[in-house]
Parts: sequence; C-alpha cells; structure tokens
Amino acid sequence: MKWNPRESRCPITTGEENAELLLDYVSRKLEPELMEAFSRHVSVCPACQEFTAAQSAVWDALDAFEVEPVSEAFDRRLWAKIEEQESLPWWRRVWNWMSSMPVWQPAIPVAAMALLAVGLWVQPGGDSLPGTVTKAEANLDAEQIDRALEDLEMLRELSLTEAGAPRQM
Amino acid sequence: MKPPAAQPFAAAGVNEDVTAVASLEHDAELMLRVRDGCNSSFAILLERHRGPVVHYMFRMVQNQAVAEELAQDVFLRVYRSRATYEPTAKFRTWLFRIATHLALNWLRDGKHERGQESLDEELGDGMTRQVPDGRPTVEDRMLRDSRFEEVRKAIQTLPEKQRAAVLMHKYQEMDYAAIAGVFECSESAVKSLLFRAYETLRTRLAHLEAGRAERERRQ
Repeated sequence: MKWNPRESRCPITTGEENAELLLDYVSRKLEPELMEAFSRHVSVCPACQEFTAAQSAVWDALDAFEVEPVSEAFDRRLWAKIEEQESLPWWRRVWNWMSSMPVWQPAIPVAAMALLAVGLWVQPGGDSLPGTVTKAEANLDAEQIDRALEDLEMLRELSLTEAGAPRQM
Repeated sequence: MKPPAAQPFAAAGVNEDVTAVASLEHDAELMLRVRDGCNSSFAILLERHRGPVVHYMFRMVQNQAVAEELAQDVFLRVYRSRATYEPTAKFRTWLFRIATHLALNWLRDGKHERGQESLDEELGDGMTRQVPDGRPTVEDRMLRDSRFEEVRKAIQTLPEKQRAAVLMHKYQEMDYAAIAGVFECSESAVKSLLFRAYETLRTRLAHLEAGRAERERRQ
C-alpha cells in the first residue's frame, strides 16, 4: 500500500524536509543519540511506524539487486586501451581529450571553423584569404580599371590613326 | 618526468612498486602521483574503485558487458585527465561524476534498448543469473531470482537521475553532499530526489513485502 503523507497526522512524515531524518533512520545512518530519540518516537507514532516499515522493506528488498563479479580481463583490457591511447599523436590525444569534456563539445565545430579560418588567413608571406577584397585592393582595382580604359582609348585612337595613315610597303 | 607511453603498462610491471605506494591513504594523493607519472598509483586507484564503478554501471545500464565497457571508459578518462587533475573535489565524487555522465549519456542515446533486450532475452530463456548463492534449494533460488527481477525492473522504471541517486545512496553508501557533488546541485535537491525515488520504489515493491510477510506468517 502506498504511503500517503497527506493522510498522516505526524508532522515528521508530512514533508520532504524530513526526508533526511527518515531515510537515515531506515538506512541506520543516524547519529546514535538521534537514532535512539527517533526510535522512541516511532514506537508510539503509527504514521512513522507505517512509513519506516514500508521504507525498511524497500531498503531490504533492494539488497536483492545483486551484481556479478568483474571479469578477470578488465584490468588487462584497460591497460591495453591506455597504452593505445598514449601511442596516439599529440593532436589526436588533445582532440580526444576535448571530445571527452562535455563542456567543450558544442564548441568543437566552432573552434574547428575558427582554426580553419585563421589557417587560411595567415598564409606564408602574409597573403590574405583568396577572394577577400581589402580597401586598398579596392582602390587599386579602380585605378587599374581607369588606366585600362585610358589604354583602350589610346589604342583605339592609335588604330584609327594607323588606319588613316598610308600603308608602308 | 618520463612520458607515459614509455612506461611499462603490463600488469606485472605496474605491480612492481604497488606496495611502495599502498600506504597512501587518500585517493587525491594517489591521483597527484599519477599526474606525476606514477602508474602504480593508478593501479591502486583502479583496484580500489574498479568494483564500485562497474557495479554502479551495471545497476544503471543493467547489462554486464556494457557496464564494463563504460567503466573502462571512466578509468580511461581519469587517466587521460591526469595532467590537469586538481584535487578540488573528492576523488570519488569526481569519479562518480564521470561515471554518471557516461551512464546517463548511454541511456539517453537509446543504446539501452538494445542492451536491455539482450538481458531480458537471457533471463527469458529460462536461464538464471549466476549470482553468489549460499542457499541450496531450487525454491529459494527461484525466489531470489524473482526478487532480483522485481527490484531490477522497479529501478529501471525510475527516472534516470533518481535511479543514479538511489544507486549511489543505497549501494555506494554515498552521503547527500557527495551525491550533490556528483550532480553539481544542492543537498536539498538530492534529498528531494531521493525522497521521490524511494516513494516510487515503495509503491512498486510493496507486493514483495506483502509476499514476504505472508510467507513468514505461514511458517
């Protein structure tokens, strides 16, 4: 039967604030003096008797969840993994370490992109990212276009002049 | 300090000076020695915590093979973190924080469904778990297996965080402060978590107690 704290008349069993006292009593972790005092209370309080009996039953029932012995090869397999881990190059170990830290995981793609961008930007010789146009480059391009247009104009005039001139044999 | 890769990892090599550091009482001191390159100290830590971590994992994921794999990952991460280790929290709290993180991740990834099927199949084929059993009769064994199964299922139905809290409280005998350290929450939050978890277990396992009382009455 489910224990219902609302139906209880004992203030000790009516709220979670006493959870520590109740749970520690059942798991026999209370200080001896407190254990003795609370035991006296339980002996005369039906609500606490009901609660502690039910909780003690759960506590004892949980002992049935037994475990199997750890396999004998556990340590050997672990040391082999450690040895394998230690033989990796430093950057793989750093990557694995970062990957294993949950706080870093969301930042890994961002960090990778940032590293890639920096790597492309800081190329040998100080070249900038291909396709990127700086202000100086933009000014330079305008001058080049003007100059090219002037050259074309000059060539056009020149060709007209040449066309009008008598052909030399 | 010699690089770890250059040190012997074979069990025999590791055990050579285990006794020399066995007198160290505190896990944090051992871990600091691991940080300084002492693999024997790591072997002692492993010896101390292997069982509790594997058993905790087994009760969390309810599959022995998976539990051991996850536990290996726990110790591997501990070893990998040795260079940056600072004893800011109790070693055990730190260890179980890693273990809980891995177990919860495994459960949330949905990998448990496959693992659970394998355990259920194993138990459903008429096979019984090989647990230490001092009782001679078949009836006792069946009763024991039945109780194991009831408790296992009751724990399995708990929300993951409640499950972890109960396992640390009941089986690892960790106090509220330590469990709060694992979850990085307040002690009052842990007490509330445990209270709700035990309340659920009281409901789910009430029939076990009723059955036991009935058997005792007949005897």
